Amino acid sequence: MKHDELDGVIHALRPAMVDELADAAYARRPDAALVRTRAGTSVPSPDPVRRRRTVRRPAFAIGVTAVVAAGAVLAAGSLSGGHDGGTGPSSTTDTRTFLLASAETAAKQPATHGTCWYSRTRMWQDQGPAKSGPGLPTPKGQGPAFQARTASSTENWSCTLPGGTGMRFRTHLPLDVQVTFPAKRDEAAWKAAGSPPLDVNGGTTATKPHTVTYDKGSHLVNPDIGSHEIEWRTVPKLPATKSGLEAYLRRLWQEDRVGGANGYTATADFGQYVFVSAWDLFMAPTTPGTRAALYRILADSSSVHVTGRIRDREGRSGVGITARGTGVRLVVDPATAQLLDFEQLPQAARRATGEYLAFERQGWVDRIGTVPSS
Amino acid sequence: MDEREARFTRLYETYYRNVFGYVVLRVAPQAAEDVTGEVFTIAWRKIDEVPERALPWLLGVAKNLARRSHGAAGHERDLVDRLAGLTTDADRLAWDAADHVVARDQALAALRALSPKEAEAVTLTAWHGLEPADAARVAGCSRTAFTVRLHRGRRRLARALDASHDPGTEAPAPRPRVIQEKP
Repeated sequence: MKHDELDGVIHALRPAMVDELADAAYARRPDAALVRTRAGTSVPSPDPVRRRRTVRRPAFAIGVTAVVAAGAVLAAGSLSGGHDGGTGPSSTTDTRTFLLASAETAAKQPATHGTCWYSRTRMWQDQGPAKSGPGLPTPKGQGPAFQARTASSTENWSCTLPGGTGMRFRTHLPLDVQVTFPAKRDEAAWKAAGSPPLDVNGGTTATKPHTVTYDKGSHLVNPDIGSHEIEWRTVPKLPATKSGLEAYLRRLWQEDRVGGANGYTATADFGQYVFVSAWDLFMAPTTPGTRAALYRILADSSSVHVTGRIRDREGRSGVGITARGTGVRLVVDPATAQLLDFEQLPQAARRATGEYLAFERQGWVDRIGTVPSS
Repeated sequence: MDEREARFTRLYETYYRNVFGYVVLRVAPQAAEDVTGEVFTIAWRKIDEVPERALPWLLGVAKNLARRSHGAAGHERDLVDRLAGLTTDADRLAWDAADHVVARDQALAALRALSPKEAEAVTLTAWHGLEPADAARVAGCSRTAFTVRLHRGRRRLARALDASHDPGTEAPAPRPRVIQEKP
């Protein structure tokens, strides 16, 4: 789909009623002086939401009843992410040394191949009440509120059809669903709300595991480098030397610097650009040589640094690496140089939601639906 | 009217519709007016902190208020439901007249397939006219993170739309959200 076609579709999806309602609300808005008077002094309200007026406006009853019955659902949340059980200060781990050692380790891993690339991932989602933010004090005493963390696993198969005639995909989820609450009062509040199902990847905590198989959609699994989609079948053919891969990535980066697809413009920092592409490449069936080359390129970047040893949410020991300005931490198993976790770090200043994905198992199998033996 | 009052009045008059238009897609419409009023109540209390580029700040407040006042109850996930609820025959006729390559329902399904953060990135820029740097402030992330999120969201949307009008294509399976997500 062309850029302008996509823009047209997105714009057209916004209902005209939004503007109509906005015009109506604007027409009957209180005078600015009245808003100031109601607001009183500049002392922040302890909880502005609780003071909400309950006056109903008839105009809102027109045509919008279908959306009134919003269920008791939960926002993706406010729990801080990251179980960083860092066992030592990051300064004790030299970034370049670690990345080069990881390159050596990666290069020694056996080169494997098969018909289907299998991966099992586990995603955690924090759910709960709102957070403070621009212009808002820290919430306190707010209404129905509890915090919870859900986790579920997903199995994925990406298979090449015989004769290279296409691909077949299968997804099996949600598996091993778990819910935890940070405190008993959160669990009590959740039960008091009727124990509503909570979001997990691909459904809710009430969703039964199900399997979906489909034949088209390789674009959903193809790794991305900047604005460039890398065809699945070419992933094992990516350059396996540092110089070769770096030349390749620099070419893509330079294209993205001047403007890639969908308005994407790459950062001026090549190391950062490589880092944000790295996890796709680590997740995909790249060869040991490509992985080693990737580590070596990252080792040259001043933006990339080791954050220290980490015990992840699955209890595995790894080493965290991140890149300045990305807000993402990858956890690498130093024994195998395999990626263990992807973590989008919560931003302390804004208390933005963090996300956490653990890679439980990856590998080649010869038949869709089967699992690697090790 | 002193300078602060004048500035507040200017913000109020200029951005009321923008804020309401953002809020009404995140809370039940009956509550949107109240929430919008609260945004400006806070804006007045914090008038000295409101930056020169005020809209991202106001939408950031609105986002947090919407979450707080309505449990936010997966408000991003509900975006498509809210869109559907606000859609009228006039929208459908306009859609058909524009001769889009996909049906409106298919486009909504494609939007639903995005992760909440991707959908937020796409709509913040397309519907609220924010530049990536300003939209990043509303989204609560770095500009780099937002740019990548926007890029990925648009691309995923484009692919889903392509697939939806590609004869013989089955609906893709749910995609683990984080896998598609880059900061």
